[in-house]
Amino acid sequence: MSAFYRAAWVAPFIREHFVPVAIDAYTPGDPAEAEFFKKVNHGVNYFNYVTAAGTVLGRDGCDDMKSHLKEAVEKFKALPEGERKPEIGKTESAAKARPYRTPPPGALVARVYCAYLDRDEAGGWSRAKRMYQNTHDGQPTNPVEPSLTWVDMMWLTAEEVKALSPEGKAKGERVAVPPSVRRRLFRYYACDLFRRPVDNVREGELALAVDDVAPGSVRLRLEGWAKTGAAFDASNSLQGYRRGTVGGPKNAETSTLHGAEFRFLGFLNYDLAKKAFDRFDAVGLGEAWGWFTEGYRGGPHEPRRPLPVGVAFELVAGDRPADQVTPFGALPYAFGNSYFKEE
Amino acid sequence: MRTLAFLSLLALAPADLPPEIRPEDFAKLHALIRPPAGEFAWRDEIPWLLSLGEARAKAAAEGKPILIWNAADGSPLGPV
Repeated sequence: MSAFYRAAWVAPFIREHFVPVAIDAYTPGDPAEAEFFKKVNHGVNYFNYVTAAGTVLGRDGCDDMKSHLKEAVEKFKALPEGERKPEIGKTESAAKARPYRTPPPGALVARVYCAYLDRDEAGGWSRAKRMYQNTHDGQPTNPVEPSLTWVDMMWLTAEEVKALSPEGKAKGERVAVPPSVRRRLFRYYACDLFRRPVDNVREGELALAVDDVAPGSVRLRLEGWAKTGAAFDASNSLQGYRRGTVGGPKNAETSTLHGAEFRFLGFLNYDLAKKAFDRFDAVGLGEAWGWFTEGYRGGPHEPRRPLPVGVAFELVAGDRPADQVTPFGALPYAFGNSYFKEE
Repeated sequence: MRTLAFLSLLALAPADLPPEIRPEDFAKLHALIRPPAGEFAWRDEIPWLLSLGEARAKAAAEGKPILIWNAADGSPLGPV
């Protein structure tokens, strides 16, 4: 996360002067792409400015973006045309495609946002005014004001969408939620997404019912609650825990101290002709705790306390590259390919 | 949005849960948690490709440099 996100000139400048490509460093592509990436890449979490032939023009670290964008453009302009428009031949290898997941055919694709919240003076909710991007020796560092938004994706398979269909249901009738959908919602999204999904679901309930039936469409309501990760226990101190090191009275157990509890409410709309949802808006409102969460919120606080957090879901078409990225929980190297499982 | 009494679909939820989300608060909460205008310009206003091969071909054809943004643990357009 960096000031790049807030510099208004950057997006238009990149649109005008670059061909931008976003790469998961762990799955850079087929062998030809991986070879090119290895040739030009400096490291993980970098912007690399290169020619199509592989000449490096510059780079910036993601946390310290300066004006090297502009310098790279000037360097590029100074190159001979043959280097600016090189003959690069075949760019894709005939080898096996990369293990990079895109939405399965017929999938429902949703964006999921996460934001830290605070109670405002009137008792309502506001976004947290500040968060910290890192912790060092147990102390929060790199403050950001206002607090940032996290983004992830959620996929429901075509089979799950079919199972959620309210076709033939009357107002008030329930639609059974597949166990895999319940598990996915709770396991991967009933948590502080800044920290990553939790390891377990302690308990929860999820229900879907028809709110209204209109010609051609059905409106549904989704309700639920979930308790995930470790239960909160204020007697477990986080003091003395140092990230990446072994130490502290409960360090061996700190990974189990992350947890959350959420309420969910959602409003869905199903197009009977298209046999697809054209609305999937949902909110999860709850509290989270643990070393990362409390650190990002300026802690660890004494005494410790659960901290408010919200998640929001919205349907996207899934046809833009930015909306085709793999949900974190579905990364082939992240959770052992358990994203689509029922239990 | 319904204006009638909102009858919960759920069985008796534990008393120690966070408060229920009221339907009349839903739209405001949804908007609050979503990123404010401009925060995701880097994601939504830049025509990111996902393939290096495609980027190289396009850059060579158009006479532009490539900006490769890479991240660990997933795409930089996703949860990083």
